Amino acid sequence: MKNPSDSGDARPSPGRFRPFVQAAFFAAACFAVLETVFPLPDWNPNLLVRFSPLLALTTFLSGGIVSFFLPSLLLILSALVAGRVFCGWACPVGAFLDLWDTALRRFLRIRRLRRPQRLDAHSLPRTFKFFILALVLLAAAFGIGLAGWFDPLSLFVRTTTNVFLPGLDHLLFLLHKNPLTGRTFSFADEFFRRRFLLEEPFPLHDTFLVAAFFLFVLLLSFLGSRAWCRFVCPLGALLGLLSPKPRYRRLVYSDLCTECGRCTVKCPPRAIARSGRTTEAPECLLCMECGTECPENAIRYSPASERDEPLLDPKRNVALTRRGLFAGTIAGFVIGPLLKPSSDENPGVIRPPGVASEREFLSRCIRCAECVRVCPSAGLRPTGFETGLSGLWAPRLVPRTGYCEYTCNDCGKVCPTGAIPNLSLVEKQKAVLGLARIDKHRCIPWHEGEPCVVCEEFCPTPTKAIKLSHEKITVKGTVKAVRAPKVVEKDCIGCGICETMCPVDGPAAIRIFPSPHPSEKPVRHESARSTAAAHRDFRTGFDHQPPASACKIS
Amino acid sequence: MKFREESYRVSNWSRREFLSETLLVAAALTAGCGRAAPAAPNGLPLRRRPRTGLKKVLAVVRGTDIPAQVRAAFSALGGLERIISPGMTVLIKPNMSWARRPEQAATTHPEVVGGVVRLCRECRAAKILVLDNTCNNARRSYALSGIAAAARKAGAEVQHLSSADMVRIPLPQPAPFPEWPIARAALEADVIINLPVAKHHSLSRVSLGVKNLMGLIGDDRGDWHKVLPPSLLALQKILVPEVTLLDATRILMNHGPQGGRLDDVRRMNLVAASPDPFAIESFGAEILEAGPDEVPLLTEARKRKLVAPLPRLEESL
Repeated sequence: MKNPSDSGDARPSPGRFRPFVQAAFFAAACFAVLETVFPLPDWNPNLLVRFSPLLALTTFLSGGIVSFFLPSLLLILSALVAGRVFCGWACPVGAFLDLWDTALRRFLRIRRLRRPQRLDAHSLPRTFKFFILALVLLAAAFGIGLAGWFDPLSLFVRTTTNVFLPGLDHLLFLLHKNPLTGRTFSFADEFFRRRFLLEEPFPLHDTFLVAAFFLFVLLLSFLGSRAWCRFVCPLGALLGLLSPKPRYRRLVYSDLCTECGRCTVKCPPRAIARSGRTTEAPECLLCMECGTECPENAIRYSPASERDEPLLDPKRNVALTRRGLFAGTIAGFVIGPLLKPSSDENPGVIRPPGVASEREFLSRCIRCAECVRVCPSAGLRPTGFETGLSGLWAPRLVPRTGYCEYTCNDCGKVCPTGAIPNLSLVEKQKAVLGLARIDKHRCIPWHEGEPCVVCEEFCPTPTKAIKLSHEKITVKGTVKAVRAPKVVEKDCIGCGICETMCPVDGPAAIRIFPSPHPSEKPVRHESARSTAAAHRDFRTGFDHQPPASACKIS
Repeated sequence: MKFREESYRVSNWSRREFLSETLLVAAALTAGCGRAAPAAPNGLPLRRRPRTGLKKVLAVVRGTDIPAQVRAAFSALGGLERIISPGMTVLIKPNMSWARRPEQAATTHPEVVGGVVRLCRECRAAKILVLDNTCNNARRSYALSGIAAAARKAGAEVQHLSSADMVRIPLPQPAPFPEWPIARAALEADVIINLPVAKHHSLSRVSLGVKNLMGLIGDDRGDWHKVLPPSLLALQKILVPEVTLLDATRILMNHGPQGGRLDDVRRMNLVAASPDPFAIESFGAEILEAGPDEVPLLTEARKRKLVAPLPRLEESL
């Protein structure tokens, strides 16, 4: 391509706006996570994960509700037009990594990040992301939900919900509680707590694995800048596959380029071949760093026309070989059975309300932790290895930590795939999560003969699934008359508030156990309900109940 | 050389300075982070001294216009201006413990709260706080009960309570616990107005004004149920609300304190106010159809000679 006549002046690269655009998208993403709280706004704040075409694809493969993922068309379109521009300009994980990489370069002076990379285009690490993509898609086709582990949007929401927000929460709380700083920070604490947080800080003890995975993402940067995006991210791989030759791309004025190679060194994803003229579109993040670096001002970013030189080496377009695809498939077959839940039996944990089939739930859950974020009592927690590898980070109710609030059905509203069905409040109040059982060796009335009614007091079912009966308890030879709790099994929905509130130290004297026979579990929802229509009618929501103003009794 | 030495001194701490500074900062940062908050908080009274001036009567107002009933009830006691001077901080403690709707009678009626807030504003109170340590999630309880919206609309400041807002206060003996965390806002308030709703309670038989004060304490309140009456009386002794206004516009007859079944709700159209909390307890027990010996709190209060008969002023609007 010939240089147009006006060239010669140093034109600043549009890349200089990139940090601001990234900051704006990052702030928007954080805002969406913050807003995922009662009362939910009119726009469903799970919007963020619904932008991912990877999750759309795996949701389609696992039989979830694909229509929720309409926003992901936007990303597909962006990839067709401008390649991985999402990765460079909008991805919140990418923005975080750019900041992190800069910090590593500036403050730790990691020299590797400044040298031309050793891990070159066709090296295994770069191909690795395509293996991951193949593995994730294959697993989804076989009913195993792996996409959420690696999808950057899910990763972002999960880590923010489980690590960053609780961290901020604990910090504010400590500052508020401290007598020296309390007066100064009580306002900030009160402000955030009233709007976005719970009364007490979020539990942090069981989110270690989530933090560890994000730490892994950060540590990858020691291999080179944006290492996660280049070597692991399956969404990046998918967007790259969609754009072997995007319309809008990096172009080089051939008569100006001196092949000095500075751009190849500077390029964060190392998507420029040694000559400096050839770009690998599936690797290029369109970050435009090369433009600011070029001493000859020979690089521009514009729609490629017919007359443009074919700058993309077609053989190197996609760093995916036939061998690689084959290996990925084999790996999928090997890893698949390891991950697959062996049966539909309850694995011994309490799943969110309305979840009927364990297998279906795990295959659809994308581990985004939107439900964990929205749960008003912090009862929904990310599972560790308790249910095996396949259940990692899927939500479960931990009743000693928090309970399923009787008047809340928000987890179903914010679940982006329908893994947790979007039940109406009336339906949810009938959904059985488990069954409460009393340990009479620990219960205060049953064991000590002292009065305690906490479980009965808190039981939210209208006619009380815990009743107090007059009992005569023999304690050390003396008979005491006391009212002691008993569970009415047919009324118990296993919401777990009794276990949360039980005043006995250590494990509660009343505990929720998963329903023994999932097939007999009364599930009163139809999957059809979890459709786009149900999704649309979501509001701050007291569906099927009169509005707040109607508080007169006839 | 001298110059170098001096500059060295200026720009760096000596070891001793470093150690003492570090220890000081560490001590400051760790102070109060543990479970035990300071036992004797500076400047806070260990017991509130209530403002007196209201007529010692029980005012009962029947009607359907709730704000008017509230106004009439306080007028019968002599008017809120007898206790609220301009510029004071007033704490209003409704019962908004549960994420229930107003018609379910588990929480104070929002119009009662709104009416009282407006009266306080007419007395030119500088700050009107509405808060509760809820049983269900606070944000949900505040919203679903309708109280937060009504109070904000009437001009009050709605606050949330966390354990960071509590101070450990020794309980007046005899009480089953030596000390307990109590909301700082309650101890600092010039005036406390208690706004309970009349409802059934599975352990204490009725839940009225004194029980409503449990929304101003922290920690694991479940422990209190073992020895409820003496604990509640100790709490009443510390907080001593200036006036209690009982919301009996509709009352919860069974399955309390949370309710949820409209069949258990009875419409009464009553509002009762008195500076004497035990007059309210007796009246509430009466309308909730609890026998004289069925309410352990009243039995204990009678034993301690806290219950005195008060003249009753009845009014219908």
